[in-house]
Amino acid sequence: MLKTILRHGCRLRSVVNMRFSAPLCNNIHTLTPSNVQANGQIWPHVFVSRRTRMIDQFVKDAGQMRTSPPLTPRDIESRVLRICNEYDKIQEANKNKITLVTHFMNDLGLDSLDHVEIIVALENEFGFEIPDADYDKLYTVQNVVDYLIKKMNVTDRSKTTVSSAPDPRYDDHHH
Amino acid sequence: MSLTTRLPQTLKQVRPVLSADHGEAKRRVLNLYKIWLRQIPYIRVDYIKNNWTETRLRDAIKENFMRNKHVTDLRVIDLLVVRGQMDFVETAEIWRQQHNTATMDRKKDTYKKKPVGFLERFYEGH
Repeated sequence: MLKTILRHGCRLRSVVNMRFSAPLCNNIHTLTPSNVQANGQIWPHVFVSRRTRMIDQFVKDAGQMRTSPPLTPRDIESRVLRICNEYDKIQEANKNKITLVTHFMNDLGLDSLDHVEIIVALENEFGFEIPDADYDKLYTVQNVVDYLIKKMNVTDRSKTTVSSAPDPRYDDHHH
Repeated sequence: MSLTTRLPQTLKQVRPVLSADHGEAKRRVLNLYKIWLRQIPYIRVDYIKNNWTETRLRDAIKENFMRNKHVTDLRVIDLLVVRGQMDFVETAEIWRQQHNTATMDRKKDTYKKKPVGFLERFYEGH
């Protein structure tokens, strides 16, 4: 926690520096490519550099938002198994014996309406809609897991695009 | 392409209502079930006086579908699907009232039962 306070403190200090001390450049009124704006207007380099620097700072601040850790195939498996276990139509005897090779209709004795219910629960859990054409691919737990992995582009060592730490040393979310 | 040119020979005697074979009818039924299931949290809020839980609503919908599971005639299945979809639209657009939706749930008491036995009649005042 102390680390985050120091980090946030440091960031504020740089913003304060930027606002109160405008950098003095030698090329204020020269016609460099960075000076010329899109419509051919020349703008003092001072303001251009300050604006881009402020925008960069805002972008970096926005990038500090914390994201959930990247999905792994084991995450998906555990979530799917948890949903199947929570389903109340399954008898108590079968509940903890649901494995990757369980077939919904043959092993658990569910019918097509129950299958639809399970798929709707999966849609709610993972947040995207599964189209009708894919329903008959999803009769075993293994098929469900593979389908979800394919749809969500989950790889084993995937890195998030937005890091929740400015320092890459803290990227695996253990701070 | 007209419907008659697409149908197999055996079905030419009867004009279908919506679906041409059992596969299509099954797809319609499953779609209807799916949209009812997706509507459950909204039904809970819109008809809040009924004090429904999600499991109770799911059981009620399943029960309503299972009541017609023995039907084999394609046109009857289509008509039932259409009627189910009409019910769905009425429920989703809140054209029904609170007690109206309770009639679809067989286990809900929409009327007060007559007292049976001495104590119940005593409590009623008889």
